[in-house]
Amino acid sequence: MITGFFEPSRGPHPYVLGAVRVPLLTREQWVAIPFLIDTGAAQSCIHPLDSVRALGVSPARLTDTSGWPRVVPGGGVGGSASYFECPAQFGFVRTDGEIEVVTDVVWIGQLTTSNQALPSLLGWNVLQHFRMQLDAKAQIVTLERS
Amino acid sequence: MPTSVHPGSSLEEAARLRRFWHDNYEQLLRQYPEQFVAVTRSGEVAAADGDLVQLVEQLRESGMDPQADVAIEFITAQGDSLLL
Repeated sequence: MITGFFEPSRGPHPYVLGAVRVPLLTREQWVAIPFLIDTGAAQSCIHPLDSVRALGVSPARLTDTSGWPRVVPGGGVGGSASYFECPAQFGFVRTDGEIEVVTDVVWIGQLTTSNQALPSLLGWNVLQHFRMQLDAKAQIVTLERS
Repeated sequence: MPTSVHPGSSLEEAARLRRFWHDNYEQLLRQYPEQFVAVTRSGEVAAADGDLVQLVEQLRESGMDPQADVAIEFITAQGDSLLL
């Protein structure tokens, strides 16, 4: 089982701390990112704050659409933006100390004035591999491999 | 922010950082509302700005790496109004 948390300064919204390896950006390194669990998101996204502070991507590179393997349009109720799709691995530590790894893609959000502070999202491309329990009243956030 | 060749160790450091932000959030909110705040490993505020790009510029002008030398968080009182 993987345990997450409700972030009191954000909502409260359900989060899980994940580690991500994006070979294009981090090579063999894993970097930690707090993901908002978003069952309405088709794809997992890393937004600019986490791209800068965790992945070490410069704002200039996040603005420029050239040099990325694939640029995809993304849209949600909060608006639309371009994303850079990259192969990635997502790692989560289980309560027994073992690591759950999901290999898929991650969308890196293009830097705009309106998405700088958005949290990164754990979307359905990763969530589909887990059973989830979200209970705000009891402060329970768990994911279990299905 | 932490990097590692193994996912587990990067998560341990991130959990420590999360506790730091949790413990200091109210004070930082009073001083730096709606701003990106960068703190050093000793917990001192290195830079703050309402714009992430400007914050990164400030850090670089001070010779600091935004990924390796500081932890950055957006300090807001509007966290419950998120629509994605």
